[in-house]
Amino acid sequence: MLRAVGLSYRYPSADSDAVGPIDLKVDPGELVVVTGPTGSGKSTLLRLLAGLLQRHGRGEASGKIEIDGKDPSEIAPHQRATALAYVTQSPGDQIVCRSLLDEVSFGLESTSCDPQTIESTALAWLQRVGLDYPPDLHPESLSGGEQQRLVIGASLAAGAKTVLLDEPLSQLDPKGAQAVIQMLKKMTQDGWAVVVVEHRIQELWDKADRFILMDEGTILFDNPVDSIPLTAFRRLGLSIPPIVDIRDRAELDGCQLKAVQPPSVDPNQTSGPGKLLLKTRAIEVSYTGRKERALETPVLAIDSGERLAILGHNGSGKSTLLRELSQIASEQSLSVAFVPQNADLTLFNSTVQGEIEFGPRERGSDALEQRVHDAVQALGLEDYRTRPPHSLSKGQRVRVAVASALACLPDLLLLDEPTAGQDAAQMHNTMRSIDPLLANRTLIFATHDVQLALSFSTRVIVLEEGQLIFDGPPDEAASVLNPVPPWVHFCHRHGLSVSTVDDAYRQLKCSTQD
Amino acid sequence: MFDPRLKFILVLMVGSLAVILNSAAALGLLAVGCGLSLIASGIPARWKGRAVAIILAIVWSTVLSQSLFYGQQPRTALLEIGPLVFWREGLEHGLVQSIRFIGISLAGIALAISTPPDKLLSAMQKMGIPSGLCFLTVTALRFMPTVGNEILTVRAARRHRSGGRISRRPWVLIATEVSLLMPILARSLRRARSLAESMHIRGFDPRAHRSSRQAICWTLRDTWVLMSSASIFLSVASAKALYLLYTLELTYHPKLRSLYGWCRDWL
Repeated sequence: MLRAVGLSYRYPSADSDAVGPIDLKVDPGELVVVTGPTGSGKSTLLRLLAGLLQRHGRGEASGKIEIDGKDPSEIAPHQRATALAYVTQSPGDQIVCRSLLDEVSFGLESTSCDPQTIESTALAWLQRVGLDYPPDLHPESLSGGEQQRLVIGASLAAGAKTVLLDEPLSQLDPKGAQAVIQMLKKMTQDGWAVVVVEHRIQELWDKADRFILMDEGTILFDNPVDSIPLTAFRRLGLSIPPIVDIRDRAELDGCQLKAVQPPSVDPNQTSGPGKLLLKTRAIEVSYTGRKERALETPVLAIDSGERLAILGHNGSGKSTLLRELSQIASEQSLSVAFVPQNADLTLFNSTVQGEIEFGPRERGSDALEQRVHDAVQALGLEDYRTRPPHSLSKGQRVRVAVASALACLPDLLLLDEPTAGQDAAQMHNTMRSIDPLLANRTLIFATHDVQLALSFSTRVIVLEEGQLIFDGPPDEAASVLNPVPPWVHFCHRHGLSVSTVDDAYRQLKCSTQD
Repeated sequence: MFDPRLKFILVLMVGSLAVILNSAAALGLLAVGCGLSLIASGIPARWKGRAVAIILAIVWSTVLSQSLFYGQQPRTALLEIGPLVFWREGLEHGLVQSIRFIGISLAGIALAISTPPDKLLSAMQKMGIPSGLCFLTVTALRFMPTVGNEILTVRAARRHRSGGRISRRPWVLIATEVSLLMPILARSLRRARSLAESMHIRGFDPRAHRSSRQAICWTLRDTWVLMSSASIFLSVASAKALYLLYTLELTYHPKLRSLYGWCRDWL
């Protein structure tokens, strides 16, 4: 059991507490989701619960924590590992060994487990987290979701019965996320206490026992899922599962939902495709040491003004396709801007302003100030112009990277997972705000977020194991997705084109008024 | 698979030999031996071509710079192109220095590639190296390819943003190159924090005892390899020491004349 009383933390040179005071109790068998806007103190709370900030932080911590009767900040690491597991955001950064078995064994070896039992315990954990692969397989061969499960298994193997996870779903595709959630649910059924900090709460909505909503370092509410005040989520711009959102709105408005004819698309609503911008060759990419092709696509014709979304599971070839498109476009003398998945690697200037100016200045572009101003406005970065980019939060850093690419006004803008690490409101705002700036330029983005892809694209490509299995309009793409998201089912059932929740509700509301 | 401690000792011997030896032929032989052990350690096929290109670049750049800027006397002009003079002794010195560096590097890479990190950690700890330092070494090796890929990504991002244009002003070029290190540094710091917290929470404590699933085991074969290598190493080191004493005019023994000659020609 985890219990925290009066927990608070103040970062050095800060005027107020970043977190707290917070009282919290998590019982064995509970799955508790902590959510809130970026900067609300969720990750700080988790690191406090793990006892890390009390021990290693330079700030001021107060309050008491007990995990199975012990304060995690006061016991030695090898003792704490048997009581508590903590998994951070990037699984790839936490893997040290070259085989699955060695990775899971690491924690057992650190806690001086009997050498005779290490292998059997580690193998049992690999099975428990659903990694039925040869134990000597290199962890880099695993997908992001599988790596996440490996790190969870490696953290829990030493015997911890309480697990804290910081955004475990942020880099996972829907299928990978489902597998992690199912595993966590199964663990709670077996008596583990699980605390998850997450922006992507849609997938956890009907799986969590309690939701804790945080804002400005304090808990706004701590309720079971059936008594969550959705208004607080809306006020803070957090995602609510679209179906839950629509039903709640209908209930508030006293409407009854009913099916309507799919609406006709307003041609002025989005900038429609124009003339041919880029024609690729048939793309074939293989990596050394692997028999199967990493990517195999037919000739693709991409028009100017298109908003092309690339969907697919982790490892399906989305990033490879973006890289190939970037190379082909450069060969055809198009101006290209590419924001890779790890957007931090594109930030090499000392201020946000300098970062956004860099591209247009190097290219000798005219109207430099206007371009920078437009990009800053569109991405909501006015308050951060003089800040060093790497001092910002992850979501803000992604926005700086997108603004920097956008300021170059390229013929082709390529974004790889532009919405990772951002909350729902930020995600949609980012996409909505860059659209007018791009005007008739082409945007291609790879994402795991099906709703985002279907809402903001004019064309969708779906990849599966490196093969292109769909290339067409967003509405039709929904049928080839695996699993088909509940939101898509809902839209189809009500005769709606797959669109944003606001659009869908407007159409449904109209139909009830008719 | 040899015991990691043996591999460690072999790398130390290679390092010492690379310092002791002065002959390009002997150093070349040492580098070839290290290269073969690297191939035997299972270097990925895609690295082989790059490794050869890097080796050639190191040899070429060192030889060229040393042959041009060699300042010691005596020196013999090999080639004169206008004001540029290529010195024979500089060329030989550059060759020796580059092969020396390549030999040590190949031995270190072979050790890193052929030894799983936990075995390396275990071996270093058993050799009495402080645990914190052992862990630092192991994680640095683990993330070296990752950092390499990140450097390529940063450079590609810069190329895209600038539209492939590169400033002709040297100070701007240097400032940009230095600024490109910023994202690598920031990313490495974030990764270091994430890794440190993860290891800490998984019970890693440099001061505490660790058990091992597969305890590293010193075999009879390891003993034989160590004995033979140590014999060769000690023979070469002793011969070189005797030769050094002779050249410094501290000791001379007529019966060792053939040894002195062999050392001069081959070591």
